[in-house]
Amino acid sequence: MAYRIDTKKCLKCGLCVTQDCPENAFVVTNKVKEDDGLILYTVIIDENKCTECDTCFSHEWWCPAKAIIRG
Amino acid sequence: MAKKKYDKYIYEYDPKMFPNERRPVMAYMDNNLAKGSNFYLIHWIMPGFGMQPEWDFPYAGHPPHIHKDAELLFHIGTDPNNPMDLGAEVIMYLGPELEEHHITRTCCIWIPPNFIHSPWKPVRCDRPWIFMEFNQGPVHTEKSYRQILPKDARARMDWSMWPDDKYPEIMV
Repeated sequence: MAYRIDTKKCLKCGLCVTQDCPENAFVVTNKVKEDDGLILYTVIIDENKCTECDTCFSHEWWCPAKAIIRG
Repeated sequence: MAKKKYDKYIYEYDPKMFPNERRPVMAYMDNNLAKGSNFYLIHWIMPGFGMQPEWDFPYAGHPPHIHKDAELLFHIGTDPNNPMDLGAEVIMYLGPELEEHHITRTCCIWIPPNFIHSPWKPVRCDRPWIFMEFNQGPVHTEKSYRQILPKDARARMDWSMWPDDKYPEIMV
């Protein structure tokens, strides 16, 4: 069952990329700096790397926006 | 007075740590001061704090953010005849949805790791009360989630006051 990021919920904070995914499956595809200095990251879960271990989905602290979805 | 063996375990807050602090801070501890200690900050909230002109707009206050470790935010009333009355009102927003809460009672707000919380802003203060911030980690950490604020609120904040703290840089 594949995992992906819900782009409607994602806040583009990039935190998921720093969370020690065992397969480094979270990949930044775009980076934008806003006027007030905030950097927003577009992130995808690389399906060729993801082993569906469920670590990201099962840890509540992984994504503050709860934007990781299964299926 | 003669030095005693365990004097080293008694810490007094050094005001030089926060030279521009408006809140009277009473105590501060973290792993840098005492190896093995978590982060603790205890200060008064005085009448007027949070009601300054620069915070007079919707969603003003300490902006949305997360911490790496769980945080406990104790709001402690100081009326000995009615200790559960905060004697104040604080607006606190919880979650990415900015769910609005009005705190008027002595309480503790539990903030799980990486849970988005704030803006936090006192909007009424009948008498001084005590605020305690305990982090279940060795030092203070913070990452901004200003992207969830309405644009006009975001434009009015002084973001130099709210830098990210100890979250890793994202390498691209």
